[in-house]
Amino acid sequence: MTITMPGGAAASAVLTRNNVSVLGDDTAPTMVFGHGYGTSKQMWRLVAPQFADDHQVVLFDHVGSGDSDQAAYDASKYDSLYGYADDLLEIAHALDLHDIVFVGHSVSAMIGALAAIAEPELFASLILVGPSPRYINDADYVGGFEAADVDALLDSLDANYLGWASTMAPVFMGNAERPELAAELVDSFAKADPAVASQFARVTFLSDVRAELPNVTTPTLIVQSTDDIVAPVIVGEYLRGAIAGSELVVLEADGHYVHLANPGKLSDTIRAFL
Amino acid sequence: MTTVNDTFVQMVGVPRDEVVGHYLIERLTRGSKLFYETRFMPLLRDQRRINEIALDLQLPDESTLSVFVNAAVDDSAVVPSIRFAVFDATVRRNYERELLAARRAAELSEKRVRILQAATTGFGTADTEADLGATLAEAARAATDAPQVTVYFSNPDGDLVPASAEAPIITAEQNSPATLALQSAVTQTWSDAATLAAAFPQAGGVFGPVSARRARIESLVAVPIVEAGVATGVLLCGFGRPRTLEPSTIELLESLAEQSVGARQRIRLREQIVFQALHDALTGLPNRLYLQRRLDDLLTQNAPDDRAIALLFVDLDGFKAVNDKLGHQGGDLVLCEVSERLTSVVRAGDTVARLGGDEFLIVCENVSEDQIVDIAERLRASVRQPLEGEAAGLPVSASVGVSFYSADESRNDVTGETLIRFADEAMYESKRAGKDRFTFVQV
Repeated sequence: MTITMPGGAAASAVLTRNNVSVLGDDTAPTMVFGHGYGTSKQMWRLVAPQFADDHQVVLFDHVGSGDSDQAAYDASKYDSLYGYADDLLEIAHALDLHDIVFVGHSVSAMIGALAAIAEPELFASLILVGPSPRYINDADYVGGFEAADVDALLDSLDANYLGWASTMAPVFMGNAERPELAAELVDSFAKADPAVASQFARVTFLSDVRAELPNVTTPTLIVQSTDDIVAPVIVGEYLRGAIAGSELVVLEADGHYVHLANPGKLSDTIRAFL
Repeated sequence: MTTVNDTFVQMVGVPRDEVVGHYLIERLTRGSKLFYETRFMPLLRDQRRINEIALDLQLPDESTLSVFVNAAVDDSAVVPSIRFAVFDATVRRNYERELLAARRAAELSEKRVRILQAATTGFGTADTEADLGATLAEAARAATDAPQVTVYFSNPDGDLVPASAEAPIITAEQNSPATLALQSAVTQTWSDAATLAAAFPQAGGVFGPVSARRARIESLVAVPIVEAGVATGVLLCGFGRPRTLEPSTIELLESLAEQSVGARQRIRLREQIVFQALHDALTGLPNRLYLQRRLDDLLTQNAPDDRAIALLFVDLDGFKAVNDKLGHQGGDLVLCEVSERLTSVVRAGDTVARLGGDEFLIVCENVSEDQIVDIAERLRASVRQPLEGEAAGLPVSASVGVSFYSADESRNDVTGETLIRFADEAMYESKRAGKDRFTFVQV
């Protein structure tokens, strides 16, 4: 693992690589938001600004997602969540962050947990939104899916890529209601490499972080939704049991994307915990 | 509020009231639900409209129905809604599945050929085992995306030695994945952390949960490198998540390991030839060619230092009598004994070479006059020690000539040949003066 020190070309390369943006006051406490599989930092657009008045808010894209540097994608490094956790730590060092409140959605929740295990001194708290340490059922553990379901997802990804190439681009172009999406979105989706999407799906849905959970020492809030089919409430209960001293808040019927479906409620839940 | 037409109700095969008022996602297979939540909805949110996304409906009789879905967000009403158009896509999906399977197979075989070709080229140009190991590791990384790849070759003693200079992350102690693959000569796999921990329960320095955790290895493949039926190395791929490699990927790793064998035999043969060209066959000491190269290296080093170089020319006294009495075989034994004695009295880093016959040359670098006198005296004393065995009682001693050169005398014209010539002349002076002594020449 390479630790990048604050300042200098190496730090700036990290910030470009992960398309890092910073809002708010850099003397205020820091919040870092991590996005889930299949999305980008744009997913936090309704929640992150609500904290910019009294926090330094850091947003980033995982390498391979959003507007990150696609050329930085290294299939060996990103074959496990550890590669993504290293990036998160490098961003923290590049910006000289400390006492970080990390808010991670879906797979970013586990990436944040691994980063906090590696360098607990950097983190003040972890807020895990719709997290799952393992999606596939295993003996008594209920993750919500069978291995065959994940295989079907991977097949869907491949099958739907056939359609994307021909049908998606005109759709972006013709979207008169959302002109702001036009050029750069077409660009970023057209560039999205199906092999990267497929590998990130494998890493997200086939990883098993359960054995690491007892090593989390950072105060942790788990936010689960009652109708989240990706990460069911029973997984949130498992996490509460596995992470000592963690709290679980179950939101009613907001689905897997509570930060879009009910941003106000999620913000209130986070503020109540902080 | 969901409303649907009759066609959709027929399509999903459940009563209308189980569809109306429910989300579309509830009718999907679990795999499609995952896709819907993590890919379909994020795209729809960003773009407000998507076309021809392939999904599977879960039918009540446990079968599935492939459909294409178009969706658009309708913001015109007071409460925004989503309009879906669902088409039965069985025929097209089957066609696309076949297309996809064919494309995947073609991509896989293209990738396989590309990796094998790149490796073949790399193996062909590898000059050292380290090069070879790096090429093999690189090819294995390309084949598997493994974050940790380590290659071991076994040395003549049968011990596994890492092919690269840096410390290996996947270690190879007794009863480790590497040694198991070596002993069985069959590829071994451990597909998750629990299996690894159960297979290697030892703690501490042994490969097991502790070191595996530090290396973030949760699954592992160990492929033996088999040479004429015997494993002579191991290729290890470690992954940071539970992984089970496809049989075709394991075959590719095995092909790569097999291809490396020929290259390794060639490298070993070449190293042997190079060693023989630069060493004396009898004593194993460096020969004149090696020593001249070493001297030339020292003299052409353009470091601005004033380090002195001394050359000791050693010729044995009394060796002709040994040969006459014991024959060449006995003489050879004495030469080997003297070689060991010379090697034991010089400093680490000094080079002892055999020129041929009973002549030896020693290069000492970064040495003072006092030190060289000391070395020459120790050398004489050690050669003078009585011989044992058949040669017992036969007196052997050393006549030594020393040429001593300091670079601070700003002379650049001194060559290795000059230093050897001066040392040779000094040695003859020792002979003339009565043998078993040394003569010192400042060059």
